[in-house]
Amino acid sequence: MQASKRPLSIAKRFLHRQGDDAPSRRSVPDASSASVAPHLESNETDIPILQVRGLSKSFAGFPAVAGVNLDAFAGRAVGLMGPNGSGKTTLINVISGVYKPSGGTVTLRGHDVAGKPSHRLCRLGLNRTFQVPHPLGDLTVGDNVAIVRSRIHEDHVIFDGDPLEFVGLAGATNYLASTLTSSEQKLLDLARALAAGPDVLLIDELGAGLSARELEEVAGLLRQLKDAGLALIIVEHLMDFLEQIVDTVVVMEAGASIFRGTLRAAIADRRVIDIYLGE
Amino acid sequence: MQLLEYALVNGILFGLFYGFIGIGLNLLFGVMRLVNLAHGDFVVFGGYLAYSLVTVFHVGSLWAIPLSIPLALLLGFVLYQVTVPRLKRSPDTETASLIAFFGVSQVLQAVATMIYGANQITLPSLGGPISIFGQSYPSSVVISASLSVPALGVLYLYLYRTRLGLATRAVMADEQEAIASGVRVRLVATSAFMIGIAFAAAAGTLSVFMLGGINPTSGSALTVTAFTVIIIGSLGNPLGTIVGGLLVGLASSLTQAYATEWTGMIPYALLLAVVLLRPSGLFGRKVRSV
Repeated sequence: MQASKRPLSIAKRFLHRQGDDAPSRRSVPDASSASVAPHLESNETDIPILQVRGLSKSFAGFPAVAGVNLDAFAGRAVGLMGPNGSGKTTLINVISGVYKPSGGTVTLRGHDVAGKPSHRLCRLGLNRTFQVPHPLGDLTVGDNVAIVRSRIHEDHVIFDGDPLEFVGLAGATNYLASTLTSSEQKLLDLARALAAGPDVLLIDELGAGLSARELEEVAGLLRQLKDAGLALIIVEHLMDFLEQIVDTVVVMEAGASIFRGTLRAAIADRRVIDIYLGE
Repeated sequence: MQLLEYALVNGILFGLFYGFIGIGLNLLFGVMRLVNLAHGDFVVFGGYLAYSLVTVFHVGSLWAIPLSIPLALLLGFVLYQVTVPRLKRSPDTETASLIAFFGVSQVLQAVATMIYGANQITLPSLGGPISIFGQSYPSSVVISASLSVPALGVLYLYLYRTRLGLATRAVMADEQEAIASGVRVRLVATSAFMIGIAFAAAAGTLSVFMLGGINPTSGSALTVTAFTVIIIGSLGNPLGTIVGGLLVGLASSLTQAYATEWTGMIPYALLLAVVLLRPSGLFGRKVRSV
């Protein structure tokens, strides 16, 4: 069974609360972002849906993440930047329950969820994609999505379309997942994350290894998700890619966050330039 | 030609039965990585259960199958709760389960000897011989082998047409990834274990007919056959088991017909060839490599 390269079609109508306006790039978080998703109007958008405070993770005494604060708001995207080994993926892993934190708190919609395992978080509305996705290769693409158990509380679900159609893999439903190309596996991973009906989505280097055109389309998908009201945290090296999606960025170095603000401000910041280019 | 026809039909009949025996074992390995050395003894347990139902309650031999299934499911549930969670905590579940089920095997054989004695028991025949392509075969064998087909069909429907079956295949493909997707692995594993034991017990009634009778130690040989079948068919792939069963059945039957003295060796030579040339089995999935 040979999976041929299928064009990515961006399905536009799968987000049931999509704003009609062009994706806006707010430089700073502001309360008016409530307009994209009606249910947000009743809530205060200033209250982060996910709140990370003083989060730490050490491996055998080595602090991979040291006291990071991070907020994610409905309908906004925050980029997580930093050189290799700065702790971005570890941070994502701790927040998403792959590792237990060594210290600090993770609060999801007011509930303390630090240290809860991934599958529990997934059912509470926090899900993620992986830098290197591991689809169930022996199962079909359709089955890979079908096994994902969705949220208990359907009322919070923002994305309720067909995740495979959304990412443009509907035509591959009956292929074995192991026959997909690596880009397609990344899209399948995104579809599987969406199938759980998250309202917070952590994206770990989705862009790495994609072609320029694929990047453009994936950025479009993530913007649609953001505009529909999902809170996104995006780990990414590719600045052009980030620029199309994120409202703010957090820059990490050696496990700590050293900058937070707009991407534009980040690339003008002395410390950020230093860690990327060396002193 | 008559000899060839006889050997082929006989091989297919026994092959179906071997596939039936292998299914439960493969399910336990595929889902939980359990090496169930007591599998043949569970089959024999089913045979004795049928024997008791027939001799004590005077039910028809074949009625013993549906009656023994609920009991086997119950036994599977209890046994799962007692053994599996502990075995899964071991860093090497395969080895730990191999040793644990060796113990279970010895216990089952001792209990069977205590209750039924060491002598062989049989069940009343299911009727006169049945003719296939002009040659007659014992009806007990033909009926028993035919019952393997719907049993395998039921397993297929379970795995490919139910939600729990889909979850079961997901766990077989990658347990960690299945957990991360929210699959309730414990539920999947408990069901697979119960179904595996129920399949063994159902095959047990048939084993009394296929083997001509059973005694407390018959399980050991059945365990060896079942392992041969699933390794040839491929570990962790329940449907490959059927092909493995047919190959072992045909190999045994053909050697029995043409080179009797080789009968005890050929199926295992086949096993060796598969392990050395295609370690993942004929229907290989990357479950493990040697």
